Amino acid sequence: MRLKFLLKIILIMLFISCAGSDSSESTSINSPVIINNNASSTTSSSTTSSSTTTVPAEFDRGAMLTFWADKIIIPSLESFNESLFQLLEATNSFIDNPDQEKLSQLREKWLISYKSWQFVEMFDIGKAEEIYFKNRLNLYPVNRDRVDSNIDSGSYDLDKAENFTSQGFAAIDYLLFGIGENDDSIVSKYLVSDSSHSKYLKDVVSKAVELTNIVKVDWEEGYRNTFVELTDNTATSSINKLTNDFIFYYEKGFRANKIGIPAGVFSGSPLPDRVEAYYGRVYSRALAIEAANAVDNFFNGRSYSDNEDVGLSLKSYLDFVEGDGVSSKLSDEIDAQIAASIESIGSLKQNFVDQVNENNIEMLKTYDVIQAGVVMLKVDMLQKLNISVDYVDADGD
Amino acid sequence: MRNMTIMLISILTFLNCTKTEEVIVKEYVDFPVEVQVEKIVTNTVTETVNVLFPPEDYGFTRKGKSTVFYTGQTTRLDQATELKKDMNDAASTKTLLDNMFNNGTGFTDSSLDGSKKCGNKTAASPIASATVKPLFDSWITEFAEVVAPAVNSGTTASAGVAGLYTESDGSREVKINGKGFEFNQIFSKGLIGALQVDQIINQYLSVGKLDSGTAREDNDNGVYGYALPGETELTITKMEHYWDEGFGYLQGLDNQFVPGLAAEGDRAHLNYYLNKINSQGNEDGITKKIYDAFTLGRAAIVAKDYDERDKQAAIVAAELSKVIGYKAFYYIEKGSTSIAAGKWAAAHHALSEAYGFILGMQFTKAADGEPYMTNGEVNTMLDALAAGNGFWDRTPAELDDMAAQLKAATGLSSP
Repeated sequence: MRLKFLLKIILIMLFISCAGSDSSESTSINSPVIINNNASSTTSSSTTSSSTTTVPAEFDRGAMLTFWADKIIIPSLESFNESLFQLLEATNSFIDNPDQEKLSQLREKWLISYKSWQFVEMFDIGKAEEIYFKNRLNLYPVNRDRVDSNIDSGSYDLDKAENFTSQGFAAIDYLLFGIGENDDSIVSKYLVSDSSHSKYLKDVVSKAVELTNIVKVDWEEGYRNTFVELTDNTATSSINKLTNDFIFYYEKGFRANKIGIPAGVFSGSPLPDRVEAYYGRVYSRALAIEAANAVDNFFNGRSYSDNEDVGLSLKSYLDFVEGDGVSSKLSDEIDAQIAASIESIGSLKQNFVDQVNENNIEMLKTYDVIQAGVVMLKVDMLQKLNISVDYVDADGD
Repeated sequence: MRNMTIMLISILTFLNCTKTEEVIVKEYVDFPVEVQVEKIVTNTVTETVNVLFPPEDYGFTRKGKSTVFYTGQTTRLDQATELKKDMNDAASTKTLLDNMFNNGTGFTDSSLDGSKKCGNKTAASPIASATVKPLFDSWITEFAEVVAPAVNSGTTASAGVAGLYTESDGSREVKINGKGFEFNQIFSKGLIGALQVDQIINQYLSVGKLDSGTAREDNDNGVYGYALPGETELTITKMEHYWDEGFGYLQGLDNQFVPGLAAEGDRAHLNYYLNKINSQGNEDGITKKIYDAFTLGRAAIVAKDYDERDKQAAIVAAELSKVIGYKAFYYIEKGSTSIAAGKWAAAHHALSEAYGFILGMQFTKAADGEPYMTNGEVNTMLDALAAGNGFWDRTPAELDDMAAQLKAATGLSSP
C-alpha cells in the first residue's frame, strides 16, 4: 500500500513537472518547437479552459434579476404606459376639437411619451420580443407613402408586418409635424368632418396603448417570476438574454439608429432624413440623451423611479468578477465612456438634421465615442461575465 | 520494496518525461495501480501527437480538401490597384471613382465588379474612427473635381494652385492640388492602413471577431459555417475563415504557400511594403515571421488553442504595424531631403505617401496592444502637414522634427 501511495506521488510529481516545464517553455513564441508546447498546454488546459471566468457563487444573480424586473423594467413600462394614456387623452381632445393649442398640447404629450419610450426599448424580451414591440413602436424612418395611402384608403391592418413602418412614434411624428407646411395646414387636415387623418392618428396611438398594455400585463402577471427564476448562465437564461438585449440596443437602437445611420457611417454619405423624430426636427438630440441616460441607469442599476436607489447591476457584477486586484476597473471605464457619450451628444445641435447637413464631422466624432463603448461592453464585459453574444453582426465578408 | 521504489524514482527521474512512456508502462504492469497510472501518461502523449507538427506553410485541409479561401480580399486588393491608377488619371470622373470605391463597379477588369468593394471595409473595424472613411470620399471628389480639371486645362501647379507639376529635370510629373497633395498616393497609402491593416489587426484577428456570435463554440464543436467557393458542403468553421480573411488582406495577391511576393503579385499595397521592410537591413526575416505567425495561429484554431491563437495574432499585429511606422517617417525624411534639393515633384510625391502612411498610424497595434498614435494625434500631424499651402510651405527642419516624432511614437529607427 505504501508503495502504491508512493508511486502515485511520484507519478503525479512527474506529470506535474512535465506540464510545468512545458508551460514555462511556451512563453517563447514562434520557436520551432512551438506546436509541441501548444499541444501540452492544450492537454493541460483542456480540462480547465472552459471556465476562464467561473461565475462566482457569491454574486446573487437572482437578486440582480429581481432588481432589474421590479425596480427598472416594470416601473419603466408602467410609466411609459401612463404616458401613452395621456397621449391618447390628448389625441382624443385634439381630434374632437382640433386647434393650434390642442395640437401643441398633443405634441407635448407625444414628446413626453417618446422620451419615456427610450427607457423601455432595450427590454426586448418576453412578450415584447414576441410581438415585435420595438419594431411597432419605434421603427424609423416612417414610411410616409404608406401612411398616406393608409389614410387615403382608410383600410389597413396595423398588425401586419407591412405596416410596422407606418405606425408608432415615427408615424405620429409625421402626423403631428409633417402632413402640412405649417401648423394651420396641419390642423386643417383634422378639421374636416370624418377626418381620415383623425382616424389614423387615433388608431396608431390606440395601437401603441394596446401593445404596451400587453407587454406590461404580461410582466405583472407571470413573466416577472419566470424572468427572475432563470438565474443560470445559459443562452436562454435571463441575465444572458437581457444583457444581450442591452448591448444590442446600445449598438443598434442607440448607436446606429440615432447617430450612425444619419451620419452616413454605414452608407458612405449622410442621410439626414433618417434621424429620429425627423418631422418634429428639434427633438432628435433630446431623445438620444434620454436613450443614453437609460443605458447609464441600466448599467449602473439605478431604480427607474428613484435614481438614488441603486441595486445589483452589470456594474456590480463586473466589479465582483474582477475582484479588488485590478488596477483599473472595467466598469469605471464603461461609466466614463457612457458619460463621454452623453457629453458628446450634448455638444451637438438639438436638431440632428442640421448637425448632419452643416457639420457631420461632429456627428461622426460622437459616433466614435459611443462606438468605443460597444467594444467595452460587447467584447471586454461579456468575456469577463462569460456570456456569449447571441446575435451576429451583418458584416460578413 | 523500499529499494524498488527508490530504483523506480531514479529511473523515472533519470528518464526524460517525453521519451519514456513505454518504459514506464512496462515497469508498472507488476503493480495493482498501473492501469490508472498508465492512463494518465498515455493520454498526455496521445493528445500531444494530435497537433504535433508545425505546418510548413499556410495550407490547411479537411477531408482532403483545402479549407482556406479569401477571394473577397483578393478582389478588394485588385480593386485598390485599379483605384490607385485611376486616382491619377485626369480622365477619371467622380462618378467612376465613387462607383469603384463604394459600389464595387466600373473596373477595367470587369471580373472585379460585384458585391465586394473597398469602401465599406475602409476604417470599418470596431476601433476605427468614423471620421476616416469620409476623408477617402473627399479625396475622390477633390481629385475628380479640382485636380483633374486643372490638369486637363493645362494648369501648372504651384503653391495654392492645383494642376500638373513637372520636375525641372523632367524626372517626375505629379498631378496635385494647391497643397501639393498627390491624391492617388494619399488614397493608396491610406488604404494600406485604413483597409488592410485595420481589417487584419482590428477586425479579423481580433478576439471580438474571432469569438463573435457562436464562432468559438462552433469551432470547439466542429460546426462548419463556410463552404469552399464552388462547393456546397460546409467544411470550414467561421473562426477559421475569419482568420483566413485576415491572411488574405495581406497575402491576397501573392502565393498562399510561399511568404513574400509572387511573380505577378502585389506591387502597391501592404505586402509590397512589408517586403521592402524585409530587405531594408534591420528587419531581416519579418516577412517570414508574419507568415509563420499567421500559419501557427491558424493551426492553433484547428487545435482549439485560443491562447496560442491570440499570441500569434499579437505577433502579426505588432510586426505588420511596423510597416506603417517605418514608411511614415521614411517618406517624411524623403520629403525633407527632396525639398532641400529643390526637387518639388519628388517632395510632393513622397509627402503624399507619408500623409497616407501617417493616416494609417491610428490602425496599428504595437506589442503593448496600443496604436502608435491615436486618431487625434494623427489628425494633429496631418493638419500640420497640410497647414497653409500644405507641402509647398513645409521646411526640411519641420519635416525632420516630424520624423523624430514618428520615430518616438513607433520606437523604430532608420535602418
